[in-house]
Amino acid sequence: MDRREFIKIATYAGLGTFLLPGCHTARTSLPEERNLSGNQGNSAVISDLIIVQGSQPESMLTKGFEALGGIQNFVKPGNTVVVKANFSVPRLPEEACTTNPLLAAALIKLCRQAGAKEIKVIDYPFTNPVICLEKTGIKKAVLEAGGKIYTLNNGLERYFTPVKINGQALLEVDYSKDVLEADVFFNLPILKHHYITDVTMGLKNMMGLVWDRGYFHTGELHRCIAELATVRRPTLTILEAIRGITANGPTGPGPIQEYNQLIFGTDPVAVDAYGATLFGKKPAKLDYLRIAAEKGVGQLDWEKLNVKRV
Amino acid sequence: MRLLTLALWRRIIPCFMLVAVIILFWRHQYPLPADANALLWFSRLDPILLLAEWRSTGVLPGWFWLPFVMIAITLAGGRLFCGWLCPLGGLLAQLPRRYSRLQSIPWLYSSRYAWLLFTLMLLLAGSNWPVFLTPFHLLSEELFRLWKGTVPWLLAGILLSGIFIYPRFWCNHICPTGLLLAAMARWRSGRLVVDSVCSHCGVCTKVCPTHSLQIMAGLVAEDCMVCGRCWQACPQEALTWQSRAVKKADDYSSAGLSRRQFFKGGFAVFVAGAGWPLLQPSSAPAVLRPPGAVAEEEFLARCSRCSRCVKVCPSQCLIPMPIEAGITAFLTPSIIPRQAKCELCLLCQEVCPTMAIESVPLQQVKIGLAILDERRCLVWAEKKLCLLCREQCPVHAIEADEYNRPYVNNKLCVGCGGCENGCPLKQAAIVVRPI
Repeated sequence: MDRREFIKIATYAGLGTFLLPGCHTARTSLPEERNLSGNQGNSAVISDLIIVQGSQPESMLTKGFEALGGIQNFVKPGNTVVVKANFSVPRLPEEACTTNPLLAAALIKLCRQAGAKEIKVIDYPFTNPVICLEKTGIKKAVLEAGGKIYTLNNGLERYFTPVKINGQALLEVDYSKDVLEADVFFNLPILKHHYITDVTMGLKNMMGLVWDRGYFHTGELHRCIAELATVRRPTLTILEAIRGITANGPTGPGPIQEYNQLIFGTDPVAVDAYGATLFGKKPAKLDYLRIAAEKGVGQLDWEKLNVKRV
Repeated sequence: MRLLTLALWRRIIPCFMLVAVIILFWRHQYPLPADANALLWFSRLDPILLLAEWRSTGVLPGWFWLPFVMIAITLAGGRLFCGWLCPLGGLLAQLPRRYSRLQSIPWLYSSRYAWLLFTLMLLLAGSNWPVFLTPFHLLSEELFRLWKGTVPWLLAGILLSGIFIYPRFWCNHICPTGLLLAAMARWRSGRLVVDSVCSHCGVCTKVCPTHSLQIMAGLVAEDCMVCGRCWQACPQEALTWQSRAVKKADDYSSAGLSRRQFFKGGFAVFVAGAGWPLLQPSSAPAVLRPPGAVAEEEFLARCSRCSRCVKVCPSQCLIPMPIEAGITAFLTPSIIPRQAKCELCLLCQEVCPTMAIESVPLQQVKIGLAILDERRCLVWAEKKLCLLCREQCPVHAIEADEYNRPYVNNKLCVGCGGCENGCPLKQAAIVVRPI
């Protein structure tokens, strides 16, 4: 749906409400409002945290979705799926700094099996997008699996739309249109070291959905990350903690640690909190997690969730 | 039938070379396909490039035999390269032959070897502008202009001269490669010769794209590119291919140097020797050069401004310098980190035909050195949690002290400009300076 089409439908829908008695007080839903509440269609699985052990991305992904009751719980036929992966640095897959191409490909295959209309894999690399797409191996994998892949680098107009946040640190951000308009939004971060925030996972990964990241660094970075998480809650966060660097992040290369885990959760804070413990950090020590939990984005105490180990 | 095939090949082969060069230049992009290297090898057919490389490095490169093959071919049969293999010639060969008074300006024609001598002296004095004028380099640069969407002035000028004077005007008067090969072709052994059955009808001169048939003398000059047009057009079939041994008597072109020519040549050498130092800037401009670029002064001498590095650069961080930077630096690639940073893919090293950008491993790359202004840095001055420079640095040259404040490790810094590019301040607090 392009902007013009959206405005047209919204206007007709708005005018249409006047025809119905008692409905004219209802407001037409704006994208930011719809997305502030996140995808609420799957409330039954909201408190689950699935931890899959293994080293084979494909089978781990399948196991994880089985434990969540199947991918059809998340992806309905005809849905548009957006996957925020991490291919923001030009590193080879074996350097464990970027989303494993096998994992991305496996996720696309599952989505296609569930009948998704369109699957887009996106990121906003902070180094050259062409080199990143090529070197990380993700472009090849995604295209072969039947998905679309592109970077958000070339143009505010094309990929971003302003969203009001009214937070303490962020008032308004230019946020990814793809994510706001998607039926299903999978956040697919990789667990790795980060110079500035110590560790990067789901919430930090979503910084790649914003046009002006430089601003985040000039202000209160942690609060910005936390407030950004209120924009759209991922349908599911799949934290890749199979292999990751423990130093020199996010750019790498660095020493690689094998955690051999894949963490699934609809609660983005809980997933990150578990990831933090895996990385050897106390979740409450990560400011952005603490602030996000305070803002009601999710549960900091992941152990309170219904944790399933597979 | 045989004649028809020749006419066909005459179009097909030069056009193929032109299209091949365009495609190869287009393929100069990340990831660099292996076949894009062919452009480098095509360029190496040129003896001028060999001369330039020998001047700058002092050693003969491994591919020295390639231009020597060209020289051997030229000595055997004349300017076959210009007529059949040159991509720019391939373009000019498609132009129609018109009559123009301009084509027979005697002083222009007779001073062309003085011009060749001038360019060669310029080359040896330490300037690669003559290399820029050779077909593969010039065409690359002009194709880059087209690719960028700007006007290729020089190419337009060459085409106009081809239309309004005669098709191969550029090849016979300006192109150093063409002139060098023409000079050698004076001693060629096989050549077209006008027989005594010639009726002086002048049809051959009308079809000759090189203006090389001195029909009154009944001879074919050294500019002949062996296209065969005259041979086909002659109603008397007076043109025959003969070897030097047979027709030595008709050889007028290898006559000795006249006094006038000698003075002209001497004047060209003098102008080149005296003029070039005047064009040199008193101090090298402080700009960042591509990774692996040789020292600034030598870089200016070696760079042929072919723009291939600029084309291949995936981040488009290489920017040809404007004319305001001075004639010596004009069109040479430079990096402005605030606009785009070097991604250290080092493809520019692979495509550079003149050794201006040498193949050096990443560990030895030193584009410049980052200098941090602690008074303005967000972390140092305002205790903000920035460190974007550290995140951007691909070689981990930005380290942090116990208060997490950044500083530059000079040993590790390669000067890619990532930090300067990433600094969120309006005026970057970290700036890469050339060494």
